[in-house]
Amino acid sequence: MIREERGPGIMLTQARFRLQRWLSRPEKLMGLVLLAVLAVLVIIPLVQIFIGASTFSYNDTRLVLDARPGAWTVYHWHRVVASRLSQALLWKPLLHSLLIALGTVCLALPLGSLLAWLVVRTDLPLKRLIGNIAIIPYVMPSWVMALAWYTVFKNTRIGGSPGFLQAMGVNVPNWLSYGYVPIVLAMTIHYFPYAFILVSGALASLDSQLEDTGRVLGASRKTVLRKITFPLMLPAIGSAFVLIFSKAVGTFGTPAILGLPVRYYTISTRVYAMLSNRVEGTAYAMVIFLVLISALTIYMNAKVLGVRKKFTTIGGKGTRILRTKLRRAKAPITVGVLVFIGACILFPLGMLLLQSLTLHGDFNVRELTLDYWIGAPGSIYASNAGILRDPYVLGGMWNTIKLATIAAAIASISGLFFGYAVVKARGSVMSRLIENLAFTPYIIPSIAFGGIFLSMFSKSWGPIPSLYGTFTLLVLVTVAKRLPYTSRTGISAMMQIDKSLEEAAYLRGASWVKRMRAIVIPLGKSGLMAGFILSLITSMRMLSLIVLLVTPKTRVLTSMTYRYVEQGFTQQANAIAVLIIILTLTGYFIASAMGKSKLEHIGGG
Amino acid sequence: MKRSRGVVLVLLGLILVMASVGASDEALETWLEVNQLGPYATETQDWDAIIAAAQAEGEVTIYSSSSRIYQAADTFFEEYGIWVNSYDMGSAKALDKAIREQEAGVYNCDVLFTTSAELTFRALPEGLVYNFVPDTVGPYIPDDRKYPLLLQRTSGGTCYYNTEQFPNGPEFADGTPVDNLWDLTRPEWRGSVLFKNPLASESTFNYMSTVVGHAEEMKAAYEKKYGELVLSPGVPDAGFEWLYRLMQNDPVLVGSSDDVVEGIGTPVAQGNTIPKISSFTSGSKIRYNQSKGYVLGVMTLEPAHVILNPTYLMIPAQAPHPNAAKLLIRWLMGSAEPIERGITEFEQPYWEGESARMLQGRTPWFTASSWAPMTGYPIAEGCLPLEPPTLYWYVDEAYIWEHQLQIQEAFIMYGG
Repeated sequence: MIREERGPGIMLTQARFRLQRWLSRPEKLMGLVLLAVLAVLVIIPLVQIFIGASTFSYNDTRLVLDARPGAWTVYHWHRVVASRLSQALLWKPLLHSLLIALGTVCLALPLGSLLAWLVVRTDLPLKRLIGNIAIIPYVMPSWVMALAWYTVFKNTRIGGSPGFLQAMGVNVPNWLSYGYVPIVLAMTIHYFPYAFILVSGALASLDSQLEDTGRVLGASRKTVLRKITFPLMLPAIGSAFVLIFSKAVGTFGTPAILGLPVRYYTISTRVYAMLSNRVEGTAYAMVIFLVLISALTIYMNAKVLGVRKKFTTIGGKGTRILRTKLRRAKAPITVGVLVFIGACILFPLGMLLLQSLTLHGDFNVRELTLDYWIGAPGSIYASNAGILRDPYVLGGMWNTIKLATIAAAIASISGLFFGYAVVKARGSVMSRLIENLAFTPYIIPSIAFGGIFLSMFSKSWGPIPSLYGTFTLLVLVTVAKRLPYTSRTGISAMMQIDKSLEEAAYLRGASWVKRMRAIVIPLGKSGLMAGFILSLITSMRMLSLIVLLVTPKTRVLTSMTYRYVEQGFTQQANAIAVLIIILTLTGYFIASAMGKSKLEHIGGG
Repeated sequence: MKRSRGVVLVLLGLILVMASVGASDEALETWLEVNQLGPYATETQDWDAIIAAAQAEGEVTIYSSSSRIYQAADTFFEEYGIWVNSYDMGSAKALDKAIREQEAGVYNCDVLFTTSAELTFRALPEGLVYNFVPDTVGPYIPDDRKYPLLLQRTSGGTCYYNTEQFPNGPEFADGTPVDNLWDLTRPEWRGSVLFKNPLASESTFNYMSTVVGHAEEMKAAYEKKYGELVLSPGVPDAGFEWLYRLMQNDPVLVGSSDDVVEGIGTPVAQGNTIPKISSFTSGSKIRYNQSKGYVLGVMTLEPAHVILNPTYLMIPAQAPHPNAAKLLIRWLMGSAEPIERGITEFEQPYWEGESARMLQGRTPWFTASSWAPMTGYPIAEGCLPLEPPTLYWYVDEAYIWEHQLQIQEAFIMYGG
């Protein structure tokens, strides 16, 4: 009797005690909140898009007689995979996407690795400078290279005034002007710095004592390279392969610009066309394909190379890097590297700038004009003013800066929270779940991610309001897409803060808020700042992610350039592209001046 | 305590969301009633009141398929001091963004100015947009050009060639003229026919669909020049056969009609030496012969060489500046003065003096290949009279609405 009476009382006390203990460890509560956020930003959109691909929409009723909007169907799946349309809609574009990604990786990775080896493992001079400027092509938007390519290699296929080379009397064949080859080359120039960042990081932490031991034991240079260096580098190269591949496979801007004249389509350009014609179920089914490909690549990487990763942990005695002497090759290699990187930066920048200054966009240097930059209203066609005096461009620029700043601030701060929740609860299921979910946006190509958010927020859905046409939506999609990077920055920042610091404060009775304010945030600040600047840069140059979501009111510079490209307003498009490059480079120089830029976290967009 | 507070908050949130859904229906009804649109529309308007209210609204936002909106916006601002946020988005995107915003309940757009069968057959019946006919011009417009939607203009799509490359009109190497739509599909033009990507342009899609829809005429035209037409496997009729052969002939797709006319019309002296021709493209681009020094010519083709495409003006539901929207629509329609005074042609230049005063916001579209909906309205120099329409086809929106997705599929399947 007595026990029964006291039962609930004890349970209540226990519950209160548990609650108190729970509240003293707010990382759990925070973890729950973050999981809820991830559910809204990652899980529900994925579910939503699957539903969209598996139900009839209003438009389908026009083509399929017995379709009822909202009813479940395999119609879109069948249409995409096994109808008479599949070849043109899915399989060929899919093949193109894969070939582009493969070609890009196969060029960018060796190039980036070679550069990494030169910078990290040889006595190449001017390392700092080279390391810094090598990143710049990656900081610039990837489609800028496509615009520049178009400017130079445009041939007679589309008529009109010839491109730069054609004007010089060089006959440029179609395969060099449009389609596969230029897409891959343009993307290689954009992605080799990414490979450089990834591989040089791994090379720097590779202990050359292992190689020395091999040499001492009588192995030849070649054998050492083959048996020691390469196997040790394999996991890093493998993950670089996957990271570049899954970014390249979904790229939209470059294939859209260079593919159209020869009707070379990729999944991303097809998805864009379908979504802008509101053929949604089909588009969503294709988006899911794109996501699956990325997921599969990452899975295969883990499967094939995962086991070997253990090698990297060998050698605990502190690293020593032995630098190969370049001897007589030093000067030519240095010059070669500088010229190559310089060309990758100055060629597009110079070409776009030059063309934006010509009256007809035909490189006639006798007809140079500043009208496209600072002309009064009415000085150029369609009565627009030069871009720096055009209220629409200025509005777009303001939107760009606003979006980048707000999104970067939210992304980097939330990254810190993610780091805190993951690191504090290290080893728990929740910690792993948050870490993995936060990485998920990486495997969803930007155009698909934009498409997912379009479907998710076009109409209100349960408690989630419709956000289409609002600035909030752009911020949300940017923050969500940046999660893989910001959460990683946050995690590594939190790892560096010793547990005992916070515990000491806790024992002295400091509340959680106080602990955050006095310890965690100040110590994580440098990581926070680096994350902020990098998110800022990427948010300013992204196109694929937001191209489906922008509306006139929320236009940003990148969407405006794309619009001008589509319209054939070449000079305006190029002038704005130059403006974007200037903005991102400014951000980049501020970041590198602050010295703390962890460039491996750059990316996205 | 904490939990119950949370539950209350969530419930409150849900109620708010549901209330806002219910409220938006009511808001729409009020908006319609206050602004005399939809069921409350009137034959005549009190323009003094509208102008006063429009000036109080201070600005107006228009999504336009034509880049010439900027010029009309400037004159509107000069006239009324009302700022126009003009967004030139192309026909497809203007429609897409306006419809999506409506579906999301985001009300940014005051005037939608574009073309598509989807406007008449979906946006209007679903109440996403509303028709507004200003009484200034309404009486002079035949019913089928103001209902269900107000037509701002009919513009012609034409096929271009370069008059320097072909001084006597385009011809094949053996001297036979290019005078038939089927000539565009001949191997001589392989890789040389330019047109705008129809998946990114409503007007181009309309042109293509109109050819496809005239299967009988296309069949007859083929047989007149080439004898019996043998359909390719899986192609249903002569209309689709033309599309199929065009797409199989390695056409050059570009992003805009400006790209098309630049590709074709750039003078030979500027390096444009390889002959190109176009499929149907906005006919008004012939004006670039003056403004940009192009050398565009218009081909005469059987069974049709002009396709007439309608561009409409309308007000999206719950537009935030409805009065300014009405005033802007009135401005873009131009005044009825030339009809009332029996003026048959305007003095050049159109953008100055009396001509500009009467044309109002119509000035930028007073060009070749562009016709106002008002009966008896003048046409620009170089513009042929619309009647009798020999070798002209009208875009048949009912047909397009029914076959749009089928034609889209065919276009993709045939290699587009």
